[in-house]
Amino acid sequence: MSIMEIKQVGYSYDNKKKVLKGVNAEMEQGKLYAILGPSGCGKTTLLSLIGGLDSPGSGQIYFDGQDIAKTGLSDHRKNHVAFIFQAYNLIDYLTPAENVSLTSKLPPLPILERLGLTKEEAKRNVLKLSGGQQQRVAIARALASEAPVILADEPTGNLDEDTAQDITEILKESAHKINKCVVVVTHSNELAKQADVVFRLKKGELQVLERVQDGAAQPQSRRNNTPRSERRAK
Amino acid sequence: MNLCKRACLYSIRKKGKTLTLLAFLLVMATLMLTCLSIQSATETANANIKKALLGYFTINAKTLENGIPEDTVSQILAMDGLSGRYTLRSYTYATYFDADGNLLEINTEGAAQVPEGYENAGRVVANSNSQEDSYFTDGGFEMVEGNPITTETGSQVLIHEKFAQRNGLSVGDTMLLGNVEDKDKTIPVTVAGIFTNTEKQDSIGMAPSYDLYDNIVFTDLSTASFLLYGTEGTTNVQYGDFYVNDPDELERIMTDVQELDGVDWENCTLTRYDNDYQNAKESLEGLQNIVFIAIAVVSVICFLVLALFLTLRLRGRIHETGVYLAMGISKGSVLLQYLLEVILVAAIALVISFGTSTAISHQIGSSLLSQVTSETYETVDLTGESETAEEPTEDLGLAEIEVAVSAEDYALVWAFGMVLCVASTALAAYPIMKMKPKSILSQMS
Repeated sequence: MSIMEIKQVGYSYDNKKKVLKGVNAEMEQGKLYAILGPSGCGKTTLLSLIGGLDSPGSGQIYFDGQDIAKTGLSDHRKNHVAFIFQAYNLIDYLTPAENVSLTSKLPPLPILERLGLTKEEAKRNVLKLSGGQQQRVAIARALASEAPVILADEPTGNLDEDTAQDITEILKESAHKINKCVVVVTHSNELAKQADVVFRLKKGELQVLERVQDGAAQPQSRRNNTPRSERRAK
Repeated sequence: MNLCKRACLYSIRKKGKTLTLLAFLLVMATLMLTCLSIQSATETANANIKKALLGYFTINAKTLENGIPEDTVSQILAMDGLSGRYTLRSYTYATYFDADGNLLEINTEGAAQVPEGYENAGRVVANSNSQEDSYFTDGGFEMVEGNPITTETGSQVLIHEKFAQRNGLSVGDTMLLGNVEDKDKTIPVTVAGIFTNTEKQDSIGMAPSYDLYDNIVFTDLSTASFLLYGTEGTTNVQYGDFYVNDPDELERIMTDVQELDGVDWENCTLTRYDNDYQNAKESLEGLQNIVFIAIAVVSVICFLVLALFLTLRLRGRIHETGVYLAMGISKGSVLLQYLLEVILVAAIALVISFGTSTAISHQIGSSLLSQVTSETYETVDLTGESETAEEPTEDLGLAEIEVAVSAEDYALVWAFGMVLCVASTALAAYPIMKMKPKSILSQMS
């Protein structure tokens, strides 16, 4: 059953340029969705609408069958979705552990350790971490929020190939093992290849390029299957 | 993580920004508190001057033939706003006789002239209390022996010690005061006291014999009334000084006096005496106005500068605001966090400002106040040029005024500081808070 449903969503900048024209989509928990498309086609706008950062010009967005415009966008952002940004967007005066605890009451260390950060790194200034580590903290923050939907905007855009692969793995695991609905806006074909469903946004319309059937075996990581914390320890 | 923890962590970890804000708020609070302290001190000074330089009005008889009747004086004394302090005065001349009717000798040495008929006469000064007469309060006269004369003492006189020596009189002796023009019209009086002058008479060589200090006699109003008007049983007076509680009320009280029924205003005039107070008040009001303007300017500048400072600070936190909003933290919570950060620092600044403003207001305030105080003394002619040995500051009660931070001023600055923080933060955060989360996130990228 779909957790997010997008129905006939339209959006235009300043009521002039129409970037989304009657977009329809359904998204389920336990799946990784990738949205591809050229720059400026409205990918990030669509993600913002799904995440309740903005309201669509027309159409509705449903979470768990309820129109988020009616239940409240702030409430939707607080309880239903978690964002991961290309620029990480961590709060610079908080440690990684404190960033994770911002909207979560779960202990942050187990989540951070699961994503490959040591205890020392979890208490360090976030700006002293590498890009990959900062993105892990951002993902940990999203996971800790217990929101069923994770929205990631170019999460690997600033990262090198190896780290990007790591982050892709984590997102995939979040979908498949933690049963999150992960929606990723990306230019990366590598990331798109790992997705269960790939959408292409073109001329304001959303097309499904590929859909992996429910219950199908997930492709293995191309690198290795060693847990990240162990890999880092090596 | 709640907003209080976020605010505390920001304040602790962003040390540079926190210290800059602290320094700024400390300067503001100190300035404000110093201004208020000086203002309070000037208010105290004004109140002290009010007490020291009492305003009063004088009612005096236009002609010597008719005095001011006792009834009129009673009516005035019953009015609201009077301090209860008053002096009634009459002046006349009398020929001095001993108890047996023999003429007494006066001093003529140093007199410009001895007018005909005044060879054994002197000035008679009568008032409701001899101690309050200007000869005693300002002229350097002082009692050597005996008691002052009041309205209750009856027919008594105070005589100069040289006059007493010259005529062999002492306290308890009886002498006669006679009308200069009608020597048969005499009244017996008892010598109640003997006085002397501690300052040399300025008018020696110019004054007629009857005005020499040695020849002056103080008596009660009833005796003078008899000598002046030949009245018996009632006391008419020439002058009445009536002191008021509040010099600022003098105008109103005088208007009320003029509306009294039964006063023959064709024979009486009213005169206002509050020049010293008005001049002193003017000097202090100058400082009060400066301080008031300073408070207003400091308030406006503080608000504008703080708003600008916080605007710049919050502009640098758009990124953070966007992240919070994207995480579902409400705008109100984010705004409260920013406000709490400012209030935390403001609270520390206000605590420290008590010490700094105490030190500064003591230095600057005292200096300003002493400058104004000396201007005030110059205005009311109580400077060191006066021959009195007393410190002039003691006269107006300004010496004990201390420019210090009062609890009231401190509470006022706390309240103002908090309002300022709330208003400035709201103003600075408004442009960010009215934006949609997506717009903020767009600015971030």
